[in-house]
Amino acid sequence: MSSQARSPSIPSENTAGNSPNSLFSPIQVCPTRSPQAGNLTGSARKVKDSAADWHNHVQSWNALSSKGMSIINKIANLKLETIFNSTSSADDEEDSVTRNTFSMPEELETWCKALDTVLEGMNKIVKKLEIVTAALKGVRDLEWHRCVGGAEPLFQTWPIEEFYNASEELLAMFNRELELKTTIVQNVAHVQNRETLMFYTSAWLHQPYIDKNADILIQSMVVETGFR
Amino acid sequence: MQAELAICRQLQKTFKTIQEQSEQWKLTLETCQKDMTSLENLAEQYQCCAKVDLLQTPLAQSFPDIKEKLLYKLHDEMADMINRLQDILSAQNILKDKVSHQAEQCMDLYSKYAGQLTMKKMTECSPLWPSMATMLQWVQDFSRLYREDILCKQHTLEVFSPDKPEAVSSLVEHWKMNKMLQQQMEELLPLVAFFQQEQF
Repeated sequence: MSSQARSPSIPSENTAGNSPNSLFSPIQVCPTRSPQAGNLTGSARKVKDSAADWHNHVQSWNALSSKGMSIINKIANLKLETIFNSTSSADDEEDSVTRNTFSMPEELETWCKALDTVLEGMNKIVKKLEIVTAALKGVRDLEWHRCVGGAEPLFQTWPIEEFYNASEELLAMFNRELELKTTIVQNVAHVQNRETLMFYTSAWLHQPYIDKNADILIQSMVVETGFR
Repeated sequence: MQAELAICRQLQKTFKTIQEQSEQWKLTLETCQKDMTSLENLAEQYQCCAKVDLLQTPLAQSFPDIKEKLLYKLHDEMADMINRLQDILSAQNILKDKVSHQAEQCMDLYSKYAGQLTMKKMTECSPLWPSMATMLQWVQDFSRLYREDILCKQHTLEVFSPDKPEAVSSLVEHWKMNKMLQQQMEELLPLVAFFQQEQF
């Protein structure tokens, strides 16, 4: 055996595949762009702005959700104090009939209207999130035309496809959560028992349709685009 | 004389550790009270939500999986809190071992020098100091109470289940400073205050 060290030889295009000694197929390197930094333009600018929009809109969503939570708490306490306490002493059928037609305190209506306003705000946020996702879809389509497959990382590791997929996944969660919150707003003032009232309150607070994954996706977008 | 000095030095060291650890443990438990309130509230939410018959609510048609998802979220949040408490307990367990080790060392020293120490010497006390026998007993009591307290809290974490109200209330009830330990701290530690100031 020869003691001379062998360096891997990259076959030339002419000999590739023809010579029995050719061990490696030629490596084709797609012309790449350097990672985006500084003053961004084009797709990178748009994606970075979208990531910032996602972060800001979710912050606003959370603020509205907290506001809504305190209103729901007030509604729940009002119902527990005024209605359930009054009906708990009712033991005959006649009184149980009046439970449904019990005169609602005026305050309840005020809180319901406030909750409606909060929901309206959340609706607007989801509309904005739809616009952000649509913009990312546009950028993705554009990148597909520029570089077939669009697999080239825009910033550090994520290609445009990842940004779009994350945005779409998040949008689906927020859309579903909005549907749930709409149903809660429509029904919370009509609840007839303590458990269901707690169920609505808890569902509003814990946002069951927004996975734990949502926060990771948003943070990933923010980190990937270089905000952090 | 050498035997007496060795035991007194070790007793001093042990009481110092006991005092520091007990105060630290008390502070830690006080900071846990916020978590206890949250845990109790989450468990109450879990129990109420589990009782709800979804079919009787307007949510059933559009959100058939909501109950499952909500209970999962609540469970997940409580699991995070239990893990946090478990971490606190694990850290405390290491400190408890330190107290136990020092208490053992006191007894080892006594066993080593038992032949040189008369009964009179061991039970002799002054207006400023308790007797060595009494202090050895207190150290053992502290160590035992501390160990029992940790084990009790460990048990409440292990049996915790959000759908069992008694397990929840037991956890909240036991995650306070153990009354006996508190009493020992308040009543006995001042009695060794002069002993602790002595230079051996």
